[in-house]
Formats: sequence, structure tokens, C-alpha cells
Amino acid sequence: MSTASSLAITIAGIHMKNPVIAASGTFGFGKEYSSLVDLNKIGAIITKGTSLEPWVGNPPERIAETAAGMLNSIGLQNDGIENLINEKLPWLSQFDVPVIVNIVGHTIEEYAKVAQRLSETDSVAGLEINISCPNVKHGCIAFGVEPRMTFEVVNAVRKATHLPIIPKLSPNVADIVAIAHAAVDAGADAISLINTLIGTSINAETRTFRLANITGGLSGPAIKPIALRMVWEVAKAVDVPVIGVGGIMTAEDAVEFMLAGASAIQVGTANFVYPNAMIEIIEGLEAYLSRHGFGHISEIVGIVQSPQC
Amino acid sequence: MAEQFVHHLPNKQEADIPKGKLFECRIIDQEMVLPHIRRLILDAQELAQKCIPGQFVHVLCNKFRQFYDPLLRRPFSIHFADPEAGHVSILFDIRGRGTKMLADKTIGDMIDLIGPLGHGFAIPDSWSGSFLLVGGGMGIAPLYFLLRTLEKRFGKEKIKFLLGVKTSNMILYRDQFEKCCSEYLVSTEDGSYGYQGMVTDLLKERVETLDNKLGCLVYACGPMQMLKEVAKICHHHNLNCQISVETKMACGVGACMSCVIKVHDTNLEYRYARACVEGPVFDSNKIKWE
Repeated sequence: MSTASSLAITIAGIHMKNPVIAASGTFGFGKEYSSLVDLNKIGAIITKGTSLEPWVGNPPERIAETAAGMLNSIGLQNDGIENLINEKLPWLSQFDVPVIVNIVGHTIEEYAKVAQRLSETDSVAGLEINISCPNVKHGCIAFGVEPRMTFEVVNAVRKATHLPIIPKLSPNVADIVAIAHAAVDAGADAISLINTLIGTSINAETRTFRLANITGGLSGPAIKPIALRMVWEVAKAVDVPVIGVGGIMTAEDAVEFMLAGASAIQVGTANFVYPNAMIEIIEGLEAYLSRHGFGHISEIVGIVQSPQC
Repeated sequence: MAEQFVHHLPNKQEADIPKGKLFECRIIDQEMVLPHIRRLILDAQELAQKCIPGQFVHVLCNKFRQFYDPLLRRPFSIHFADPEAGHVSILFDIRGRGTKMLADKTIGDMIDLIGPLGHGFAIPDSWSGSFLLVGGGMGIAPLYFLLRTLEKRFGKEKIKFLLGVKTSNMILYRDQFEKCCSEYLVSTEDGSYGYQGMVTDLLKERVETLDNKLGCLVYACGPMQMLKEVAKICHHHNLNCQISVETKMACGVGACMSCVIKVHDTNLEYRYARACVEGPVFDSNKIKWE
């Protein structure tokens, strides 16, 4: 019989009760879901992307539903780092759950300043560096699509903070492994992947794009095969833990990511549809371990095998 | 001069977020109002006790949870809630795959929903003036619950209802609406019934005849262009006006920031407010109309 401790893990020095993490941008700052989800039960919360100054975000329409997925062009609307520190983090600190702050910036200096400011608090367990949001015209995306820029931004954040840092990689690249290597070389403690894929949607009746920004980031079950492939490629290439994210809706999805090499997983779009998705995934992971005779969740990480030919 | 009603719709992003709960509700009645319009009545004891007019529920439309297309929930304003019977109803237009799937559900089926969500209409505890409700098309959905609540609290004599529809066969539940107010006027765009033209033109005429404009509270729900015009008319006459907006929504609880509308801000030129938690009912003067 599996126990709760069979799911406990430590990634990048961050201890979690289980490997199920709320993905940035899909769970607000925890408060929004607190009447629907027991925050004490999940592995960690990654807050919505936060910048040095408040960002207004993109004009609506900001979302479009697609086949088994959704496009978003929120544009990283947020109230800035001081608001996070003064209002959001104190509220979150009442819960027994590690808080990882997703940080964004227009420039490398902004990333470093946000990281440095968060280092001064005692309520942050780690930083996820968003170098990959596809929705901001000036910032973020430029850093995550090229190894040299990835290195520079991660390195700058590394120098600015003692906190564990977890770059979140963009799938909108030709060679995800090269980007991952650059992030690790710059001092990443772990890697999250993937962020959303750039896409668009057109309304044939009105003959217009559905998003005001024209393009947006595709998330949801539609992107799972791509995320799974990239997690598998990166996990076997780097020696830091990989956190898998992309279309995880169920415990079976989560298991697949862990078999591919993810040490932990993030749940994103599923939160919108099934607020209890993370709790069900945690329960499902315990059941999986028990059903297959594994003693600890780490035993299934990266053990996928090639099919017999 | 009538008392001024300063209602307390939230003005800050961190205003208290209404705490919805996840419910499994049984459909106890399903009505085809028109070929493309349905009303579902749900057995929802707790929800019926809690909700106020203008709030909404976020509904999983898919037949099976494992189906991911369509993926997202759909927001529906609460059409009526009967706390004594423990019933809540929603009224909706079949517009796409999600609403089609919901329309295909039958009596006895269970519906997975989150609610009540959002800030509803602000209703004064006491009011010596009048109420003017303006609905455009399916905008009547939340206004019926508001109408019944106002009637119960203040009596039908104080209430007028203006309805705008494209054509006469879109006039829904006329009898029910008519008996809850002192004046029920309809405008049709094609002139097939009542006033010919837009409901906003009808509103302009009615506002002109009001004895006590400051003592009139206006509530509106309908297409955005209509709401913009209602807001303009009310602003011109210094009428207190609350509008309920409809936007595309993913989470419904304030996390995703997809459902935003542009509002005035004290520090910035504007900011984007989340309709799901700061609305869907807004003071019309707070919206930055474009």
C-alpha cells in the first residue's frame, strides 16, 4: 500500500509533498482557486508571471478555443513585483505549500532586478524564469529561442539570487536540447518545459482573426505529444531535474511525463476545466505506484522503454 | 430629490473574489423555448440560497469528462433562482459546440458547474425612486432574476422593463416579465411588434419622460454595442447605470485574465479588469468605452 510520502520529492532544493505543481498563469496567485482546491495538498504553486513594474497586458479578445486546446494572448498582465510581495505572498504564506514565482522582464536587467528583489523575501522557494512567453511583443520570447540569449538571461538571474532557478523553455525552437544545455550551463537548478506553442485561429464567418493579438500560445491536451517528446529529449540530455508541462489533464498523463523523464509535472489548462484536476492526479499517482508495485515516485522517472520490434 | 445610490461594485483587482463552489446538479426540467434557445432548471439547493442576480455559473458542457473538444467550461448568467424550491435556471442560445452539447442534455442528467461566480447587480436596501431595466436579445437572461428580486423587494409599480429584439418571435417569456413590472415595452428592429427601432432609441424616449431622473436606477444587459449606447444615454442624463457584460472566459475565477474589459483607473490611463471577478456587472461609468 502506497503512502503519501511515496510522492514526496525534492527538486532544486525545493521540498514538495508530491510532484504535482500548479503551472504559472493558470492558477493566479492561489487565492483565486482557494475555495475550490485545498492548496495544502498540492506539490507547489508557481505564480502568474511577475515583472518589475505592472504590465497592462494585451487587448481582448485574449482567448480562442481550439480542438482540445486553447490559444491565449494575455500578454502577462500583472501588478508588478511590489504588489506580489506586499499582497500576494503574505496571503499565500498561510499555506503549507512551496511558492515558486514565475518572473518575466523586457530586458535581462529587469529579470535580474526581479530575482534580486525576491531574494530579499523569505516566502519564496524558487524562481521559474519565463524566457518563453509567446505573447509579448517586446520581451520574453527573444530570450528563449536562441541558446546564447538563454544563457545570458539565466546567468544574470543566477548572479542576482541565491534562490533555486528554473528556466521555462519555449517549444518554438528548432533544437530544444541546445537551449536546455545553455540554461544548465548558465546555472539552472532545474528546467520546466514546455511553454505554449505559437498558433492562431480564424473565424471563417467574419473572416477575421479571433485574437486581437492575432497569434497566441496554444495549451491543453492538443500539445501533450509535443511536450512529452521534448521532455524525453531534454531529460536524457541534461543532468538537472526536468519539470514536465503541457496538456496534462489526468494522472495517466502525469505518469507518461514522468516515464519520459520528468521528475515533477505542472498542471495548467486543466485547472480551468477541472479545478480538482491536481488533487485527482495526486491520488492517481499514488494508485499507479501501488498498482505497479513501485515504492516511490522517483522510481518511475525516465524508465520508458522502446517498444519491442 | 431622491436619494443617491452609491453602490459598491469593486474597483480594485484584489477586491473580494466571490467564492464559488463545485456542484453536480441534476437537470429537473428542460424547455425548448425556441428552436435555438433552451432553458434548463437545475436542482441546486445550496446554489439557490447563495446566488444573487447578475452572478453566473461556469458549466462543463461536454457529455463525458474525458472529452476535450470542446475543452473549456461555458459561463451562463443565472436566469432565476428559487431558494425555497432549491432550483436554479439558466437560459441560453445554442451558438456553438459547447451550447449544443448542453442543449442535448435531458431531464435527469447531471451538470458539473462552478458557482455562484462574479459580482452581481447591486440592489439598494431601500429606494424611493424607480428602476429601469433594459434588455437586448438574450440579455434578458440575468434580468429576469433581477426583475423578480426587485419586484419582491420594492413592488412592481416602481419597475419598468424595456426589451429590444430583432423580430417579434424573439420576445421570450412575455407574460412572466409583464406581470412583474408596471411598464413593459418592446422594440423590434424589423418593426414586427411594438416600437420600431433599437431599444436604445426607446430608452432615450423613456428617459426624457422620467419625472425624477436621479431617482432612477438603470440596469442593462445585452450586446456590447447596445450597452455602450445605454451607458452613453445614462451618462448624459446623470443616471446611475449598471451593466452586465459578456466576455470570453477560461477559468471564471480570476486566474487566467482572459475575460478582461478596459476600465478607467485612478493611476493609469486605463487597465484591464477581469469580468469574471470584478464583474460581470460593472458601473457603466467605470468602463472605458471605445
